[in-house]
Amino acid sequence: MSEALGVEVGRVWRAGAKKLPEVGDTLETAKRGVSTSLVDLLSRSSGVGTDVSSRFDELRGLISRALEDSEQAIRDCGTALVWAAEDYELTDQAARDAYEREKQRID
Amino acid sequence: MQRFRESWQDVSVQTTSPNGCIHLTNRGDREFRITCDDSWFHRATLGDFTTQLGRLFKLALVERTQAYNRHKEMVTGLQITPIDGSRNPHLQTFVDKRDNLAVEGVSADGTVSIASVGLTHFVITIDSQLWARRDRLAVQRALDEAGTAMVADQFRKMYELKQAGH
Amino acid sequence: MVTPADLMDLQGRLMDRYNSGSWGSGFPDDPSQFGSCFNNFADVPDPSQFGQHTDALLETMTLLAPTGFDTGTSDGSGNPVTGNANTALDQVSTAGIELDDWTGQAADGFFQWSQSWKTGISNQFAAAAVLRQLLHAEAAVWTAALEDLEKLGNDAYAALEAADDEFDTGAGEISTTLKVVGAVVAVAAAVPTGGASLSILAAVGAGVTVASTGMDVYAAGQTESKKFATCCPRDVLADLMDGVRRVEDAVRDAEDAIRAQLDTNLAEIDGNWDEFCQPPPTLTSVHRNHIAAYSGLGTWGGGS
Repeated sequence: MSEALGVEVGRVWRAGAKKLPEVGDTLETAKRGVSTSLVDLLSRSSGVGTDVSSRFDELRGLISRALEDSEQAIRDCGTALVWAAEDYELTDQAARDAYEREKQRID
Repeated sequence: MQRFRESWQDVSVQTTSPNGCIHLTNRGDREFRITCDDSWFHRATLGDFTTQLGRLFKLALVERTQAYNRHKEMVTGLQITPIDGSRNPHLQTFVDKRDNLAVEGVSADGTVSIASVGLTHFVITIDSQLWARRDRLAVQRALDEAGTAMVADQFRKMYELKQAGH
Repeated sequence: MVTPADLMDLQGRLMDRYNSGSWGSGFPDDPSQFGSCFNNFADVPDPSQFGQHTDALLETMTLLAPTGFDTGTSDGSGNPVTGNANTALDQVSTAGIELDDWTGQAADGFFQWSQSWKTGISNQFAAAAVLRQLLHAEAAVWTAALEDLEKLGNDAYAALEAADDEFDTGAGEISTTLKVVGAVVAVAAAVPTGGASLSILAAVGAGVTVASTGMDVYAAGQTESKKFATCCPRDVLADLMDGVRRVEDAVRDAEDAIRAQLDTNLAEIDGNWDEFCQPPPTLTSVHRNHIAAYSGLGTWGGGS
């Protein structure tokens, strides 16, 4: 395996271990805005108006689920890249050296 | 509302007859004071005098009502508009009865009376002997008494109408 | 800001005022309505409680923003609420993860997937904007409704005072204006949709009713008048309950419009879930033990 590839392996690891999890963290934080039920806010017992609480909460729930799934996809993607980097590290000395350098730089 | 009620008693509404010779001052809900130009009083016939009085009272009613509503708006912030009987039959009944309400006031000595139906048409009767004396102050005093009594009668009967639920 | 609890206090004061009056025969058939006229609004949405939800949604939008955006709403000072793009999301690309010289099947797959993933996030951003916009609409409806009801209650109180006043001839009516009744279901500001693919989310912005500028959605002149007779409590109560019914009707109409927007959005998202939320790339479905053998994964920088 080439030296060039080894450098790339370090970048692959960094993408999977650092960059994509950061995006996952962003989505996890974004999810907070749609984590609280809207039913208590919008429901009423009298029947006045048109009770839209369940519909509002359904939309909120869909956004929350989409954010959850999108976050998981990004984290899974990161994990796959880390696995790939680790495998190359095991089979190629040059890649291992580059991998360790990159890892130490990040850590 | 209490502040409005109290402050309204200090509000004066002054009205002048069409010929400019008779003046009426209403203050709050009770005071009713007539003054008349002395020279015209001595020239006027009884018919001229009562005709001008009748017109004066009609004008005074309009001006007092406007002043009342304006003052209420100013003090309470409420917007006041004339009653609209067409909004529902119940209100129309009230309006009809109000417009046909007969009120009257008589001076203490009985020499002057003011009668009205719905406060749109006034009949003023002045004793001929009192008129013959040409005593302007005496006539004004009797008119004040009769007017004050008429206003009190109007308040009483309107309150009865409100209490009766139309 | 008027709350449901304020209305409960107000109807209590109305009942007390009726009970302390001298009414002759002008009493209504059911005077207890003075004390229960706002009961239907005892636990309606409280306008003062919306802010925490719309603020949280704004934070969500800020984190998901593919581009700079304008929410079409305003803050308490009337300034437009806007936000910037979140560049952190740009990391989801081969360039973003510094693998832009990565080639091969996996690279192509990741590249394509990342584009779709970002489109999904843009759709989620637009949906969050729609949700926030509709919450503002709800807040605006209830803010106006409760303000109108308070006005009705206060005017009914003043009308009772006048009816109980022996020197008030009852010839003047109290006129007031209602905001929610006169609210025109109007076009709102467009929902920001940078990068979104679901067209309905863009269309929703144009269709959102009532709330276009934060909590105050009623342009001048969009009001209706309401009168209160002052001659007897029976007429005062009739006018009060007429006003309450008009507010109820207006709230129902406004919420029907909001419900229609919600239904449209829910159907669109349900019907296009994969576009709304991109499934994980095939890369992530490869077993741990086979990752190194995954086709194309090893071709970075032209090496192999």
